[in-house]
Amino acid sequence: MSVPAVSARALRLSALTVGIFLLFSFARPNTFPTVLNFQLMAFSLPEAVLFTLAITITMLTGGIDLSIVSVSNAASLVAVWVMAAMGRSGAGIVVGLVAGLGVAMVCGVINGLLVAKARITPILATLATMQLLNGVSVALTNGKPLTKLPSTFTAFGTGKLLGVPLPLLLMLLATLALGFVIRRTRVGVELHLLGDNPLAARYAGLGTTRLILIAYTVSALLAGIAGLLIASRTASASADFGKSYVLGSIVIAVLAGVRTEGGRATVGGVLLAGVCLQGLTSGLNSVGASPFVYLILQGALLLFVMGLDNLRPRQRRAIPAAAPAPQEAVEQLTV
Amino acid sequence: MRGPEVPLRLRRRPLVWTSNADAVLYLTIFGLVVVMSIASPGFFSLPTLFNVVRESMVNGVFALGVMIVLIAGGIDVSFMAIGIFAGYSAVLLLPKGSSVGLLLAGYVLAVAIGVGLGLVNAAAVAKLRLPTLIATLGTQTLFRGVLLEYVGRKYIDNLPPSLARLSRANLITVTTGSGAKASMHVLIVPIIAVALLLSWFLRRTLLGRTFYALGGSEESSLRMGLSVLPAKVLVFVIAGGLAGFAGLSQIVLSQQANPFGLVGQELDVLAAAVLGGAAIAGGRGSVRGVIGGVVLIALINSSLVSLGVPSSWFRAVVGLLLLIGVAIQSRKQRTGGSPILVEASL
Repeated sequence: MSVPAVSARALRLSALTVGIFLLFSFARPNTFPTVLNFQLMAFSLPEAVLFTLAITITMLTGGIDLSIVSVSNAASLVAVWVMAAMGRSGAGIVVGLVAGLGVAMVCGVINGLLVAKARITPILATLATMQLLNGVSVALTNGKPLTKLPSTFTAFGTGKLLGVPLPLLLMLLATLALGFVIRRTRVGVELHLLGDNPLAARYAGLGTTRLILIAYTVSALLAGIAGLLIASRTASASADFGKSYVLGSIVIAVLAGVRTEGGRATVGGVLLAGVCLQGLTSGLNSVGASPFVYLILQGALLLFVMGLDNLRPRQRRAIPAAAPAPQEAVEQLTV
Repeated sequence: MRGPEVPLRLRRRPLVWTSNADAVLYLTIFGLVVVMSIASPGFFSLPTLFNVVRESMVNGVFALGVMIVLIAGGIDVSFMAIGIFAGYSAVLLLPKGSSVGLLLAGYVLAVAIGVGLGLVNAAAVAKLRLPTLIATLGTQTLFRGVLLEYVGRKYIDNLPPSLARLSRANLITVTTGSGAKASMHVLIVPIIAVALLLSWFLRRTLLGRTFYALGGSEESSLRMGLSVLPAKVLVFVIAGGLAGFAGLSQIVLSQQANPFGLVGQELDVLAAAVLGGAAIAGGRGSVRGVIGGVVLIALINSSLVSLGVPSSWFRAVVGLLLLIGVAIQSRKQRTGGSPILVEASL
C-alpha cells in the first residue's frame, strides 16, 4: 500500500463524514446542528473510540483483541467493588481506579502471553479469554450490576470543562498518546514492522514477544479506561455491558483504514471514523429513522468503503509476485 | 526431507493424544459421562441424553456451516443473522395449512433464502475481495438491519400449523420414574442425514477436497489449477444454506420466531467449532470433530446443571475449555505435519 492510497482513503472518509453532517444539518436544522446534540454525541463518542483504539493497536501487529469488552467490564467491576469496600472515600476511588486498570493490564499480559508464547492465533486466544473473563464476571456478580458508586467518581463521566465533556478530553488525550507511541517512538516503528512482515521482523532481531506483550497490554489498558469511563457515566458496572462494542469497534477500525492483516494503523482515522458513525447514528435518530436503518447503512458502508479500493482498478489480478508469507510458513522456517 | 518412496500410511504417526484431536475430544466426552454418572446418580439416563441432543441440534448445524468456511481458510460471523433472516422470513411466507408438503416448502424456502444471503457473502469476498471477517461482519449487520427494518420485528408465537406440528413431533418419548416426560425430537433425523452427507462431500469429492486445499494455501491452490473462485462461492452458498436450515429448526424447536434472536451468539458456535478441531488458519476440520465439540459443550452444560452449579458459571467453564482446546490445537500445529495430508490419510 503506497502513501497516496492512504490519503485517498482518508479523503474519502472525510468527505463522507462532512457529507453526513451536512445532510442531517439541512434535513433537521433545528435539532441536528445544535450545541445540545453535539454535546450528546460528545458523551457517547469516547467509549467507542477508546475501544477502537484498543483493538487498533493489536490489529497493527496483525492480531486482534476480541476480549476488549470483557476486560473493560472486569476492570469496572473490580474498581467499583474496591470503591464500595473502601467506603466510597477519596482514597478508595484512587485505589479502585488503580485496581481496575491493574486487573485490565493483567488480562492484557495474559492475552499477550497466549499469543506470543503459547502461539495461539490471536483471534482464538482472545475469543477464549473473552468468554472466560465474561463468564467469571457473570458468575461472581450473578449477572447483577453493581451500583453504589461514589458521587465524586460518577461526576467525571457526566462532567464538563468549559462546556466540553470531560470524557471527550480523556478520549483526545488517549488518542494523542497512542498516536505518539505508534508514530514517534521506537516501539511504534517496531510494531509496524512486526505487523507488516513478521518474518522480516524476526530476522531483524526484534523482540517479537516483547512487542506482542506491549500491544496486548496497551490494548487492555485502553479497554480498562473505557470500562471505568462507562462506569462513571452510567453510575454502574455490569458483566454484560456493551457487547456490541466488539464488532462495532472492528467496523470503526476498518472504516478508519486500519489494515486487518497488520502493519497499518492511524489514530486520526479512528477518530474520524468514530465521528462519522456517531454523526450517522445521531442524524438518523434526529430524522426519526429506526435504529435498524443504521445497521443497514453501517453494513453497507463497511462493505463499500473497504471494497471500493478493490473494485476501482479493474485489472485482472495476476498471481502476485511476492505473496506475503503465511504465518505457518514463517513458523516452519524459523523452527 | 522425507525418506524416498515411503507410503503415506506407513509413516509413523505421533502419539495419539497429540495427533488426533477427535480422539481426545471423544475421550473427554466419554470420561465426562463416566465421571458424571458416578458423581450424580440420575445423570446416566435417557432424559439427559435427549436433552443433550436437543441442545446440540441447532448449534450443530450452524457449527457445520462455520466449519466449512473455516476449512476453506475464512471465518464467518454472519451465519446467525442469515439463520434468523431465513427462518423468520420462511415463517412469514408460509401459507396456513398443516400438510407435510407445506412443511417441506418451508424448509426449501429457508434454505433457499440462506443460499441467497450466502451468495451476498460470496460476492463480498470474491468480488470486493474483502477479508472474510470484514465481509461477513458487514453482511451480518446488513442482513440484520434489513430483516428488522423491512421484513418484520414482531415475535410470532403461533407458528404456521405445518411448522407447529413439527414442533411437537417426537421420535421417542419416555416417561421417567418421577413422571416427567423426555423426548427425542424428530428433527434429529434430517440433521444426522445432513451431517453424513456433508462428511461424505468433504472427504470423498473433488470439490470437498478443494475446500481443504483452499484453506491450506490459496496460492498453491491457484497454481495447482484448482477452480478457486467457484469453490469460494460454493463455500458460502453451502454455509448459507446450512444456516437457513438451522435458523428454521431453531424456530421450530423453540416454538416461536423471534427476529431479535440468535444474533450475538456467533462466538459460542465458533467456540464449539474450534473446540471440535476446525482450524482458524484453515485447511483443517471434520464433521465428527465439530459435532463432538458441540456435544461436549451441551454435555458440560447439562453436567453443571445436575451438579447444581449455578448456570452463571457455564460461560466461564466453556471459556476455560476453549482456552485449553486452542492451546492443544496450536501445539499440534507446531508439531504436526501438513494438515491436508493428515486429513486425507484418515
